Amino acid sequence: MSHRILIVEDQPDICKLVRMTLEFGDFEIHEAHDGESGLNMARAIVPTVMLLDVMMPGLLDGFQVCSRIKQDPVLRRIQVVMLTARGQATDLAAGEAAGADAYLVKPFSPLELIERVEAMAAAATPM
Amino acid sequence: MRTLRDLQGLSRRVPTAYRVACVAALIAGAGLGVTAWLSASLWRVEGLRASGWTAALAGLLLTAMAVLGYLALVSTRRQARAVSRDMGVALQRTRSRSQAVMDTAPDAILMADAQGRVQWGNQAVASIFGRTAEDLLGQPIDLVLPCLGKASLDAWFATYGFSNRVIGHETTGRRNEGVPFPVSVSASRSEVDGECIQTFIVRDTTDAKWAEQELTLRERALAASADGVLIVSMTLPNQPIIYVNAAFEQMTGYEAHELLGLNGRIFHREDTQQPGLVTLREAIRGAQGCQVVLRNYRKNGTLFYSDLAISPVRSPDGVLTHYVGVTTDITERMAAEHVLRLRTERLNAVFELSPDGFVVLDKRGEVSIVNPAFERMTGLLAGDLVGQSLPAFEEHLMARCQASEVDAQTAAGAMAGAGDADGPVAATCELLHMHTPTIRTLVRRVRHGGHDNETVMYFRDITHELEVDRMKSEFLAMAAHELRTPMVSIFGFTELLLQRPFSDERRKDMLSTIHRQASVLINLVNELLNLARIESRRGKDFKRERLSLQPLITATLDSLLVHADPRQVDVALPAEAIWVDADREKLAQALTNVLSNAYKYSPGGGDIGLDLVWRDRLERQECGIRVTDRGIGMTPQQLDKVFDRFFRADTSGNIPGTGLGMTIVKEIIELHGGQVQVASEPGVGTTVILWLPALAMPRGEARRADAPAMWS
Repeated sequence: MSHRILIVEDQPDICKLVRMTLEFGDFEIHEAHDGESGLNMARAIVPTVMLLDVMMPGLLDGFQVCSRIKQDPVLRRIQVVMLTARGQATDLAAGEAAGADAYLVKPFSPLELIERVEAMAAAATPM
Repeated sequence: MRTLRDLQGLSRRVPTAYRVACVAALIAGAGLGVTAWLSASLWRVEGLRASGWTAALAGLLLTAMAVLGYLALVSTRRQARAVSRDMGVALQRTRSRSQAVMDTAPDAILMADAQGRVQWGNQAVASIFGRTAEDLLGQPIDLVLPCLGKASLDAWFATYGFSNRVIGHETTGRRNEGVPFPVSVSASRSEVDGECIQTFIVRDTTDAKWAEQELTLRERALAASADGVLIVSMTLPNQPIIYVNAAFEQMTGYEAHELLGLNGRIFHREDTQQPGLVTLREAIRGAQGCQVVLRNYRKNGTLFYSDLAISPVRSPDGVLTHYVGVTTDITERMAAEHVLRLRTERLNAVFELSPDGFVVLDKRGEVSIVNPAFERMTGLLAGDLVGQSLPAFEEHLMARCQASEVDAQTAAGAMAGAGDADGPVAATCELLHMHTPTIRTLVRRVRHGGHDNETVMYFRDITHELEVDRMKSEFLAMAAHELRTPMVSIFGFTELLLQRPFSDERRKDMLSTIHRQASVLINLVNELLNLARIESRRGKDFKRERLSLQPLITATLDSLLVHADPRQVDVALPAEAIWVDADREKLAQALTNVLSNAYKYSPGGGDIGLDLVWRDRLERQECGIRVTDRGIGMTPQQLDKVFDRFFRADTSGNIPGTGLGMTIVKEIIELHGGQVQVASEPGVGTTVILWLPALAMPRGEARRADAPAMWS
């Protein structure tokens, strides 16, 4: 059974990159382009892994989406990987505070991304 | 004395001499008579009778003369007896007179024999030596004059005397109680009737010594004084200097002998118009004392400031005889005072002009200084604060703060620095978050202690700094984000292309994405550099020139490259030239950014218009280049951020851009002294006006009333 992956990213080219990276694995890929729709989609599909951009337009940024998910008893099992252009210590700390499971600083290596996602998917119980 | 003794001797000797003389005369007379008679008898025998009578007559005559002589002698003796009696009375009188003189003499008079034993002393002996002359009789004289031991008397006369006289030998006497005191001894020795008499006149010089010592001390004190001292005679012609001390010589560079006899005006040279001199002359005219500061000149011509105090000296009958002057070289003090005055003035200026606030509390803990910057920062007025106690001041200040926090970092630094400071100077540092009169953050440093135990409070308004810091870090974060985003595509797709096989079509798509994102990166870097240059140079590198707007607008429109858009800008420009003072290239760049936004944000088409409008601002004419589009527009929230760096009205990623265009436009126009005005409505369109000060208004221009359509 393929794992559901949710990409929340406002930049279309990056969405395309992640999709093309992951299409070599056995994943069911979903996309959202801002925080709110990302959170809604997460509630709807409950993905195994969620790739979450930090700086997005709209009311919710990546950290806020992440902490909402981690506070939700149903959604907290979702493995959240933060994708961010901010790589400073304070940003990593903010990710940790929000309960993120992993952190990928842009620009990231697609191969590293797929490795991480596959490892997470393998560790997780399919839903 | 000698006369007295001679007289005495004479009175004793005269009767004896008379007696012997008279008897001798009688015998001689008788002898002559007998001899004469005998001779006459002899000559008669030989026949010379006449001659014999003559000789007898001569003998008789001689005898008569001898009797007469005797009688005369007897009479003389009687007279001598009377004289002797008279002389004895005179002698007695003289003796008591000399006794009176000797007893009245203030000096002790002692007579001693050859062995130095006291034979006689006058009454003063008792008062000088503390024992009476009677007590001393027969005592060795070295009992009261220790230097005159029996053995050393001869030596003493030999050493200090001249022909057995010693005058004014300074030595020590000894009083009855054994107390030594200074004496001056004069002495003589003589022999009377084979007896050696030594007479000593002893003067007690205790008072004289004391006076002399006192005088010496005073003179020493004068000589040793660090202040220059001079004495001027007011009775001699030209009122000359008659005394100067060493300090005065040193101060003036003259030696005493060069000054004595000269008038004090030598020190003023040609500099005679001094206020101090007027005061001085006035005081001297009134025979009064005074204290003045004078510009004096040393021997070598150098100027020095002298603080001179003069005091008149009057004779007992009140006549001014001298002036004593005491003077100090205060050049250094004047210089120090000058420096201090300058420093104070400078410090006051600093306090007045400082953009930072200062409050000083004196040692009593009362507010003494409040500078204008502090008034501006806090709205608290110096007039209300000066004289207040520290708690009252704190209450005033804290009423305007919502919070205060100790700045841990600077406080720690201050503590570390306090160790090597001279004296107990404690410094604290805190942040004050004010809500009145406006929201701002102040840093307060308090230094307490120092020499005068004052408290100095220093306030710095860091509101702007904090805002700039916040903006800077926000800008950095934004820039990093904006730069990394295109890199994600370039880096990611390249890696995928290298690692995985893709169809030609997909490869082409990926490569075009890489290309597009690379060009975004290039634009971004260019615009960032542009912005950085404009901001750092603050318009200094602008090549301002008087140029006409219309040709510039036309040229900008011509060079505008818009891919795959057939629209033309609807331009309406007046025929008459409008002149502005501007950098051609920069202004063209600003206009290009605005025009390209108009194209980019009206993807659905619609007219893009450009015309010129007028307004008055700051008493001058401004011309506005108005660009209007019928595009997607912006919400009021978006409009607020339109000049923020990296702000994009489009979040879909469909419209390329860096988010720096309008920031750059704003910078350029404002550095030209103009303003950028933006009005927008979502779904309706956006109007941007670039206002620039116009150099000359074209005649017949009537567009002023033509208000911009969007916000009329």
